[in-house]
Amino acid sequence: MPALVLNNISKRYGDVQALDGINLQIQDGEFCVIVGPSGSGKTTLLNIIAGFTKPDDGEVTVDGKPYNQLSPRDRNIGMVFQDIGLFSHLTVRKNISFGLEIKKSSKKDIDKRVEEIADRLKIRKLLDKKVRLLSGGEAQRVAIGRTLITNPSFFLFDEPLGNLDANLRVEMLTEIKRLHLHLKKTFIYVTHDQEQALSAASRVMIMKDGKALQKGPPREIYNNPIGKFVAEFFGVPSMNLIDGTIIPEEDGSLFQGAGLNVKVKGYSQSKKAEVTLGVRPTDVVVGNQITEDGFGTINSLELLGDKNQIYLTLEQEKSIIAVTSPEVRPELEERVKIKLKENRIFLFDRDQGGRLYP
Amino acid sequence: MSERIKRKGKIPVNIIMLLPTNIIILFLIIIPTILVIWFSLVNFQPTFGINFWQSKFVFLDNYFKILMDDEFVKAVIRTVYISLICLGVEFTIGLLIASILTGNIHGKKILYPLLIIPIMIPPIVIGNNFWLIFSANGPVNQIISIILNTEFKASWFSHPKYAIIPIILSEIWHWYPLTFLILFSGLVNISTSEIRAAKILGATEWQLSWRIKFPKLKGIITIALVIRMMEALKVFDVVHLLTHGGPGTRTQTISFYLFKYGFKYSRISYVSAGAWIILFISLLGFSLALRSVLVERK
Amino acid sequence: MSDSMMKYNVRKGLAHIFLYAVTASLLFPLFWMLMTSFKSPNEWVTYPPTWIPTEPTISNYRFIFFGSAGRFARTYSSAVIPYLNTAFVAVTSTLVAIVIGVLGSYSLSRFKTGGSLTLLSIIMPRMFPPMAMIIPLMIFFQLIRAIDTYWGLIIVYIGFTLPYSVLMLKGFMDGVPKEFTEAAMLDGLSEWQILYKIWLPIIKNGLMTTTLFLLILNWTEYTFALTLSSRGVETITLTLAKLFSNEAGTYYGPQSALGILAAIPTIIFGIFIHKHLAYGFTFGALKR
Repeated sequence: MPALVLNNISKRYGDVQALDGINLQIQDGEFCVIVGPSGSGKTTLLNIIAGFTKPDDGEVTVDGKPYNQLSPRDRNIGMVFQDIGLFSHLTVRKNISFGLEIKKSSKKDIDKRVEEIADRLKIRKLLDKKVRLLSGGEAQRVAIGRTLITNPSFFLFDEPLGNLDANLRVEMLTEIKRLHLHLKKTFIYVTHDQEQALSAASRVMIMKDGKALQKGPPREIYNNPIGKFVAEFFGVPSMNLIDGTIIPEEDGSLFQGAGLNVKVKGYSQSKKAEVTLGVRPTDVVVGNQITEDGFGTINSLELLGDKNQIYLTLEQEKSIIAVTSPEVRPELEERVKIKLKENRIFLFDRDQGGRLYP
Repeated sequence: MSERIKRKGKIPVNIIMLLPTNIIILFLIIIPTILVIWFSLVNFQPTFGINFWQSKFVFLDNYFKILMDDEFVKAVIRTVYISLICLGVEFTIGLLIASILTGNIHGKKILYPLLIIPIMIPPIVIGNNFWLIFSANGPVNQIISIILNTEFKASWFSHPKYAIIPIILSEIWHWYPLTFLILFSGLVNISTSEIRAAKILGATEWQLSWRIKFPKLKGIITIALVIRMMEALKVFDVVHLLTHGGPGTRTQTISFYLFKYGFKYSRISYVSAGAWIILFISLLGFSLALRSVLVERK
Repeated sequence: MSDSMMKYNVRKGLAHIFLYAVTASLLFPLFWMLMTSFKSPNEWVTYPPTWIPTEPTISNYRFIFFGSAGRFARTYSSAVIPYLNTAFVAVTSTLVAIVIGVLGSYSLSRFKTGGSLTLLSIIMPRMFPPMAMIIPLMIFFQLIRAIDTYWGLIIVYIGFTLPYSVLMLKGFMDGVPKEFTEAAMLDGLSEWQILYKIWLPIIKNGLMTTTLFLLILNWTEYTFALTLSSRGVETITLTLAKLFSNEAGTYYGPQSALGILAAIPTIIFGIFIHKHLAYGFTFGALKR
């Protein structure tokens, strides 16, 4: 039985449809990531789950119980905020213990629990510090510790790592993942950074303009995006999108665009059409010993150790990215052959963005 | 930075910049203050025809005399209790309006400036305002008559018990915007995340106010209190205009007492001693309060 | 609509009604003065009082500007001169206090000159009951012949608004980001240039707030004008107080008209700066 069910949630702010009929079922213990560009409504959705915002329409239920009328404090939720929101007038210890102190728990219980949490998050030596003296990563740990104390049944994360630098972000994300494994509670995590989504989530919902575009395990979305937006948005580096024309042929079709001629065997249709071809950077083969789909000029090269990231310019100034094994070492400005892996090509409707193939 | 200031052996620029301020403070504050000390220790009255530097030194005599003066002591007590009533009412009104206005209220943008208008009105005009509405034939008597359903026609300003009421009300009216303004800005400045975090951890509205909002506002509440107390000790304009301290001495405040004995009776030494007693009391309180705030901010 | 939504709406409605009612009653004294200023003499003291003038007239305002003949003319002629006096004294002293205050607060905010002791000594004067300071000032002023003169009053106003000037401006200046100053120092700007070219443009709003706030203080001042300059420089507050003198009796109409005229500039100044006033009042303790 799903732990948390969002049923047709809608919310308007004036003329803006912030959320438009969102449905989502989250199983107990899942790590669900809601991802989308800013303004897509994901934070509004989180606030509705937490109870800070009332939906115009639709229902939130948890374990079959309707949640709409419950105030935030009765929902038994833990939440970590984008700007962290530690109580700046209190010490770390008091921040963590807040949830129990307002419930008038005994001093002994509180101390025991605080120390447990401090040990788990490795912040024991920070306990008596003022929170404004904490570094970004420390503050983040304290914020997580603060939510743990009330033993909530699920956790909401609102872009919690947005303000951290890249290294720290990876470290904290690992920490959150470990926490999830340990607690076995439901995590709902909102971010605009799909890299985080990919690596952490057991399930992802992609949002845009208040709508849920696609839901599923990250691998599945990566391999099987339903449209141009999801395809480009999801994955690092982004999927290459090349505008062109599809021409019917006897055994399938031929895509022409930016100087490329790509055979698409599995796709057949009766007449010419304007389409967008999509291909992941990892599915672009570069080298002179292959049969080519076209040519590109090496624009720049990033040697990342375990792989190379190659920036190519095609005809009509179209830039694409290829990710290859480290052995492939073309020269700058060199003109090279390009081949797109045949069964990894997507075709999208150029205007509507819907997927035509596969 | 310090080498930058001190180069070439010239007077440092920061000292030059502070100089005009210091000169003004010296001439208008420090020298008069020293004079007040001197006056309070001698027996000086312009009517005696003796220059103040030649007056007879009487040490603490003036202090003893004024402390024995029932009228002075009563004026001090009266000022303190007027201030306390004002502070209490102003904080209640200010907090109430501020917390309602932080919510989602229509017409907020218009209400906000309207609500702080009284602080911009000249006190003497405020005196005029209350003179009008509390006059025998004014609207206050009319409204009370309607509520009590019987003819009520008090002469507020000459009534031994009631005369203080318009004075207190006018003070409250003049100064509630200060507390409102400061509390409102303080409340608005508390981060939403902190409030939400507390709510989601299970805090009730009461706990939210008591454990989050109030501790965070402590600093600025202290400042508001200090500024307000500073002004409260000066209550003069309205008293001078409306009641002249009367009937009898029933509405006499410290400022009015000092004015009366200083200007009407020319009892300079006597008044100077009184001023020092008040100064001493208020300085002690204020510097403690202010110090704590200034230090905390660093 | 659900039950709790209903409760929520009722509560919200009540909050609105309460707030509007409070605002209305708080503005009542001003409303009453405004109405009285348009009443003709026979309506001044009728009982029950009329809330809206039955025959509105501007004769009170005419009286204020042109005075009147007869018995009363001895104490009251016209409010034009006092009005100009007030404007002159208030504007001059405000400008000087601001210039001095800008320099002083820059020194305090940028160099922490003298530490918190200087700060304390600057705010002290505001804690003295002014009555206590007036007597030595009077004696001092008699020595330098400043009693009943414009410059005497201006100097006093400068002195007693300077604490607010310095402390409010310091509050705003403390919010200037360090990077700007550091960049300017690298460019080789002198301290005066940093103040004038970098800091002042940044604290523009604060400067305006402080200026108008001092203007309000000076415009509304009564005690010093009464004791130090009443025979030479009549300010608007003194004129209003005069209308209360025994000779004048209860001149409700002209009193109100003058009250309105005296309050209008300060209300306008205040509305201009209402957004920043709280920040200024707390000397920058808000917002950090």
